[in-house]
Amino acid sequence: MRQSTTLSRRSFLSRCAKVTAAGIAATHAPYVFSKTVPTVRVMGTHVTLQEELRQRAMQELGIKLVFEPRGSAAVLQKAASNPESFDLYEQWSDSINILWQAKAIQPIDIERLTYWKEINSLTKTGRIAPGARLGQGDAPYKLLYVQDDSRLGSNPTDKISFMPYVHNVDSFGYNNDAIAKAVPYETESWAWLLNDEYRGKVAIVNAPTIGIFDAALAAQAAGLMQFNDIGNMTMQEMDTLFAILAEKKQRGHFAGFWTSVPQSVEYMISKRVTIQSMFSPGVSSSRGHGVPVTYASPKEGYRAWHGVMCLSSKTHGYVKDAAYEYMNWWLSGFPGAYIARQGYYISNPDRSRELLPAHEWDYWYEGKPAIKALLGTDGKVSINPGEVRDGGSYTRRFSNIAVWNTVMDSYDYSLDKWYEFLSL
Amino acid sequence: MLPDFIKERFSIGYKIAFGFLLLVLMFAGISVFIIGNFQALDNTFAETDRLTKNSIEILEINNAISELQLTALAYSHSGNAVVIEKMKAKYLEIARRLREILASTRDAESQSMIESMTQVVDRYGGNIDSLEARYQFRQLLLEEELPSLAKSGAELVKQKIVLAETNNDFTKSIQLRQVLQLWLEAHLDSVNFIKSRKYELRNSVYQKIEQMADIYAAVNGGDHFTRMNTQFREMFDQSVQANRIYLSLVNVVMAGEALEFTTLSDKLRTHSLRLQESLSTKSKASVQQVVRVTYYAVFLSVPLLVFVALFYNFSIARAIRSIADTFKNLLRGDFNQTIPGMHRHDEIGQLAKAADAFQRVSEEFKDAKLRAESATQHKSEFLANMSHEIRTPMNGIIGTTGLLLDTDLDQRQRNLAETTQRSAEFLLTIINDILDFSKIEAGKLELERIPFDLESLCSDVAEIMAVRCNEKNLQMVLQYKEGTPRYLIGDPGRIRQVMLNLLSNAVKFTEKGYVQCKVELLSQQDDQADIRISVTDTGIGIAADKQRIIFNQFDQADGSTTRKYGGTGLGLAISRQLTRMMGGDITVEGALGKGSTFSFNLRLGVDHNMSVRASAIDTDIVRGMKVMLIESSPVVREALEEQLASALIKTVSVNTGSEAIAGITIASEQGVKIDAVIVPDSMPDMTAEHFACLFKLNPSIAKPILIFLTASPIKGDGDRYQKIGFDAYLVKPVRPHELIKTLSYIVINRKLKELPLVTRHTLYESAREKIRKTAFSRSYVLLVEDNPINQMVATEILSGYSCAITPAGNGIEAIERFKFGNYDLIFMDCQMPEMDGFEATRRIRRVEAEKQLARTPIIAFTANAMSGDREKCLEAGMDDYISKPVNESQLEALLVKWLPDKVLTEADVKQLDPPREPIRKVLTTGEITDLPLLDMKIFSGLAQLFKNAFPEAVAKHHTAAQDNLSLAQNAIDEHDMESLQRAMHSLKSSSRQFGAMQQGAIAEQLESLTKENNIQAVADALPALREHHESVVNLMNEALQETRALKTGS
Repeated sequence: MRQSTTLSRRSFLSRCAKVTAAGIAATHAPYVFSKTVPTVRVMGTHVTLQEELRQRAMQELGIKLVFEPRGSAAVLQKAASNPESFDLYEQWSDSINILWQAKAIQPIDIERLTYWKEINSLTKTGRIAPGARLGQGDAPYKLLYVQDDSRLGSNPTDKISFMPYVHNVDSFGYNNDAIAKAVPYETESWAWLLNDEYRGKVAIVNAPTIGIFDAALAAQAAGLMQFNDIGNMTMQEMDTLFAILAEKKQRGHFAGFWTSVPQSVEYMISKRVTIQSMFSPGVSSSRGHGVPVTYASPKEGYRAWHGVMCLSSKTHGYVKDAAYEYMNWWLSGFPGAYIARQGYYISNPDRSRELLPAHEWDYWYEGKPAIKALLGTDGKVSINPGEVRDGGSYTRRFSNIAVWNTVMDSYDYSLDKWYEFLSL
Repeated sequence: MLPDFIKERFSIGYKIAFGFLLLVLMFAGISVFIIGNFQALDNTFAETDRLTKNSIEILEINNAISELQLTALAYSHSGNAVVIEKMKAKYLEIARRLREILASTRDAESQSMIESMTQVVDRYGGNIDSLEARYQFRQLLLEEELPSLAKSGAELVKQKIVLAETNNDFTKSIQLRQVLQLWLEAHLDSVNFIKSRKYELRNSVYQKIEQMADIYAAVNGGDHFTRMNTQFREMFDQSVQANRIYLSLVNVVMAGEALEFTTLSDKLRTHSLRLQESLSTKSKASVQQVVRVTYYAVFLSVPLLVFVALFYNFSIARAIRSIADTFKNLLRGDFNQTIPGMHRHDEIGQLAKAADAFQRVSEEFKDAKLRAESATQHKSEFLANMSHEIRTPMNGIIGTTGLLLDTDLDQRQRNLAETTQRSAEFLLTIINDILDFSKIEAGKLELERIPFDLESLCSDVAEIMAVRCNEKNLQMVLQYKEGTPRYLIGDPGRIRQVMLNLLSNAVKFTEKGYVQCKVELLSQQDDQADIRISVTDTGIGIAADKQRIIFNQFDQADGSTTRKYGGTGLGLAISRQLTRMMGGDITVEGALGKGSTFSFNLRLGVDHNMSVRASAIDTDIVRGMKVMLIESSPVVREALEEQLASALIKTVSVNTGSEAIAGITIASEQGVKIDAVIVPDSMPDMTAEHFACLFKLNPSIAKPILIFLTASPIKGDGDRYQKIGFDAYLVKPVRPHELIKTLSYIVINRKLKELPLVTRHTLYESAREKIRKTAFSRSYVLLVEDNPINQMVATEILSGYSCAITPAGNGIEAIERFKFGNYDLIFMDCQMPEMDGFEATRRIRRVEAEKQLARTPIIAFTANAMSGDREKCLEAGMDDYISKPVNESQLEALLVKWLPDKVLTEADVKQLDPPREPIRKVLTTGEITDLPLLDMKIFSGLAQLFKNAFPEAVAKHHTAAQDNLSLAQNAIDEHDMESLQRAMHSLKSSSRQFGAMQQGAIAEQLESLTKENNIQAVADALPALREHHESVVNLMNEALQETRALKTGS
């Protein structure tokens, strides 16, 4: 009697273990809980893996969420090589090729995405507005649909490689204490990153798929070289670019290469840099620390990125269901409103608009001056009355895309060159 | 230097405290500052040290990370698992070292940097595991799956070729060969793309796959190879990603972390250097500050010290010196100085005011002292003169009253006269006391330092007091403790005075019991002895609270006591002063109703000469004797036992006669012989006669020596007691050694012949055989003395030394006598009517000078022992002086001193004719009866002369007379005419000296009868003389009693 009970429990446990997938053995939760409350492991960056969102999602969805935030390069290589280690992957569109080719992710059924129809044209066509500049490189729409030959393309199908959600345009931030605020789209220029005036006070992000474009845009803007297609550099162009960078680096131009947003904030507030590649939350956080950082609107255009939410190729069953729930939750309004206060845009903004007071919407999306102080997600004042968002409205900003974050054909080569660059 | 109000207003204490406080504060401040700085410096050094260490450490860690990164690259080529393990170990070590550094870092900025570095390293470490996984995954694709797929694809195509060729389908075979070619090239390109990093080959691989697919599809349609081709593309894609992932890990992620670490460590080093620099700057500044502060402190403290020193010197030290000088001058007697610092308000101001007050008081005091001294001087002189002046008329009053009392008076007149006489005598005593006291007060009393015999002195005093004790039926006990020296140097007169005072008081205040005088040695050092003499009585005692005040002058224990017992109240005060002058003090013990003990200590010189010359008492004969002592009084018994014990005589003491008889009988039965029995006159159960009879009746007992001891000797008892069987007849109080001497005398002489009764006289005579009076040849002496009694006493004494006396009543008379006589020596009284001794002496000296005569020694009789008298005497031209009353031994000593030529040797004495007596008519019997039995004038005069010693003198006279009578009887028995004549002569002299005029006359008659060898007539007359003597004795005792009563005023 006793033995049979033990046996039955053991077999049940082993089944459970198989179903809930490996990796959470550390959770000693009772099986009832394990069964009804699936755990979704989310791997990504600090941009979207925020504690408040996690709590809110767990509360609203009744699932358990485990966040594993890492630097963008680290998270990519981990996810690509080890799809068992996550259920959902949240990063930028430039990861898609790698992940997809590494077979680390599986196609997402459009049918299961509740708000698919609300997703705007930026992802679907590459243009936010009819007259908008189509950025070079891997624009997300080029990678969105899973084609019949299993490749990714812009031809719409009922399966997609990622769920579009968070996106933004990036540039560089500069400390107004050291560098006078300039005119957006007119005098602000990527060239500043290689300006010898700021030698020793410049940092760029340590990610070849991103940082290389900041460097390339800077080199091109500074008139040091010209790219045929900046979104798809040749190896010769890369040689030239890295030669320029190497010379700068050897002259002590770079103060560092950051790998995460908090690190970039640390660079800025510790005055290690006065100008650097930055992501939007990094700018907000730096301002929150009292450093007057302007997020530049370079006349050469932004480097755009698009958030992708991907489903691990190894995730199945109710965890997968839970993952879909989580994906849908993201487009349900609250998260979009939440991240709007951090400067990010959501792919279906209208649903979030309902949740944002008009003046906040006006500031964040419409590029209008703040009529009163706006609070950040941390509850602190992040925007003072009268301030206008750097670069203006959503539409204006996304109409000025120079290049999307891209994994170029010459990516393999860029890795070698990047290493050389770092090791110099 | 300072405002005056500071100098003079605040207390010196405050000023000194303030000065020190300033200094202490300053040095404390400097010390705190310097210590603080040095601690800071020390911290700085430690911090610098730590920074340096940490910098080096960080540098090493940075190198280690660079090495790690190199190792990671090496792994890319080798894929050796050991490398990974090494990397992990290296990572852990680095992480540990970093954490150590973090723990030892204090600077917040450095800490934050090190924390960042720790994060970087941790991230880096986390990548090491991934590194292995990514590598293996890439290897799997590149080394196994891709080659295996390529191989199986190639095999498949080869089979197809073989099949086509077998079918002779050469077109197909060629196309298939093209496919095979492309397949193999694609594989080769893919390997080269990844392994050799020929990145341009990627597109060529894709082109070849497409080309292959197209060709193959054309020849063969879709089949297994088509799928393999697709599979190959997918696998190539995967391999590309695997390679990218691996490279991005090593080239981007890990390299980025390594670079970040280097950047951070550079920053940290720069920061540390900056910190070190700032620390070094700080420590330099700190050292400079210490140096600066030390300089300032020195610059400040030296003037401050100088200032404080100068301030104290000017404000305090000088002022104090100046005040001290002022006081010095004041003490020197300079009372006319201006006192400095009077205006000040501090302690110096107070001192100045004190000095001012002192100056004023001293001036007044000096005047007062001078006045007081001169007043005291005058008072003392006045008192001395007055007492002398009063005494002469007092003597007149007493003498005249005596004469008056000799006349026929009726009872009322007699009473009045007697009262007058008593009052006068009492007044005289008071005057004498006052004189003594005022002499002591004035410091004019000088003590003598002459050799004397303390034992005799005590015995004499005890005997004198014994007479009075007998009258009150008290026992007088003298206990001269064994070991107490006998021959001492001091002032015997004053000792005697004190003893008599204490003993008189004891007798006076005691109604029954005893009075004990104990003499003992307290300590002796070479020639100095501390003697204690205590007088114990069983009288009324003194209350404890009164014991202190009784030594105050004019105080007695109780006011009523004065009324009951009389006395001036000066006696004890004088005694105390005297004993204090003699190096001791008087104390009193006892309680009311329990008797008193007065003790006084004396510090006396020891007369070694006399002690050596004095023969020790021979105790050999009596040693070991057994004596039975019958004595009921413990005090007497103790005294006697002690005396006997000193000669090692064993004493058995009993209370009663019957006890004694019983004791002796029992002893005898046991064969123990009792050698002697001491029998007192007052046994509780029987009389001495009875006791002796009981003895005689008991023939079984060997007859011991019987010694009779009486407190009240009665003339004629001697014979009676001898007949009863007693061997000795001694009088209480027993003198020191008297019992031993008696016993040894009896033991020695009993062997020789039948022994007469041994008395004190026997002992005295036996001692006298050894010591004789100095004999002189005829000398002529001028005696200048206005007082007839004194004249008589002196004449009597001097006659004993073969001096022919020429009397003179005053100075004028003396000069007359001197002019017509040739004298060997002049005795000169100082105070005389008409012309005093001083003037007379000066005149005599002038006469001598005029007539060129040899200087005749003049010796002053001074009545007052004031030391000034001596100087006055010598100044007037006298050569020596003798204090009245005149003492025979003193006189003898003076004669020896001033008439050395007249001293005779024993041989001279024998050759000499008996000294010629001044021719004197022998009186008839009728004429004798006309003479007074006792001439009160003479007797009273003597009483004044001897003062307190008079009873003793009278007693001595009695004893001497008794002795002379006994001698005379012996002389008659032995027909010793010479002794008989000497005895009669002695009796005659002493009788007349004391005013026993009839007795003197009778003795004179008998003396002349002796000269005529009419011994029978002398023998017949002797009993009558003895009888007469007894009545004289009674009369004298009566007179003495009266005198004493007069003194005490009862």
